[in-house]
Amino acid sequence: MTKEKVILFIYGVGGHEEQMKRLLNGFSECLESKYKYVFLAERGAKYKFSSNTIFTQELRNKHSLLKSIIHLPIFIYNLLTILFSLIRNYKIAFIVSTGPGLVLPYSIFFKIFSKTKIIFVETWSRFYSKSFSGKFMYKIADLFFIQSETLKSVYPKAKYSGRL
Amino acid sequence: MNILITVGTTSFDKLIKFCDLELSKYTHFNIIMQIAQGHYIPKNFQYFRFSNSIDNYYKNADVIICHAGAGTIYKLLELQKVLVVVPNLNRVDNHQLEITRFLAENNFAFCCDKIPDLVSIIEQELNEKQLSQYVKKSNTISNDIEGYILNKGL
Repeated sequence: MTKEKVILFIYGVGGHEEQMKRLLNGFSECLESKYKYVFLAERGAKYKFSSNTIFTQELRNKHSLLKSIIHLPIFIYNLLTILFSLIRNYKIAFIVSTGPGLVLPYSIFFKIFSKTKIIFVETWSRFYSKSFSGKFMYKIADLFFIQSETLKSVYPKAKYSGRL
Repeated sequence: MNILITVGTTSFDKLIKFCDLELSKYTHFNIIMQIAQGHYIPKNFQYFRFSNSIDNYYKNADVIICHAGAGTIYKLLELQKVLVVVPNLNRVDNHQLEITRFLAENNFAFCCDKIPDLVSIIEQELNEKQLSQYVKKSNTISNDIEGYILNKGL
């Protein structure tokens, strides 16, 4: 069975999904005709862009560091289950993400084991410093966007193409 | 004057509580509060947690007091609304301070770093200060990503 070529879109609650919505609006039908879209989102996200959406636990709890640590084992279990399912069914050609931290373990895994190209858009709420996911994604992304020119000095190799 | 207070998708009890207690003395304000999953329940004003027709509330408001969530802010600036932005510092990181600084430096909105300052902003600045207009410029992010993907094509 030849596995379908997939673009895996990863997004989270709040601003991350707003940005993903705007990003998706800008793609043409040409892209969707060549690649299957699969979505991975934090549970609690209000947008479901297609029926091929997996909802999962956030990497970091946004209010409590302690909760992040306590929930880590469950996160890892979910991560392994989802990775297994993705590998079994798809060829992940690209990962496109607007954050948050959820994108990290998936990007690392697919970049190492699958030659997947990683595309990351640093969040529109950052102007002077790196976000948690941006800090790490800058090192592994093949294409990294910033949405404010004030971030040029912080991410010298990033591409600025305006704001979503 | 119609004022909407909105906290977006995450609770901001400190702001809601302050507004509930301190703004009730302004009888000429018609205030509605959007409180998300907040635990503090307003006593003096009409409130809701979330709404599918939040756009109507945005449209009807003369002034919007909002948390410093970028999504909310850009949407409201693009609607040319007068904003009083209050960063929510009860989060794991203080990233809301960055957009607040950006807005203050460009004079796109009234910025309230400390919640008690809301009173002086409402009593003075709102009437006296003129804001700069935020103009949304177009972006090519989606185009650039699509071009990249179609070029790389496996």
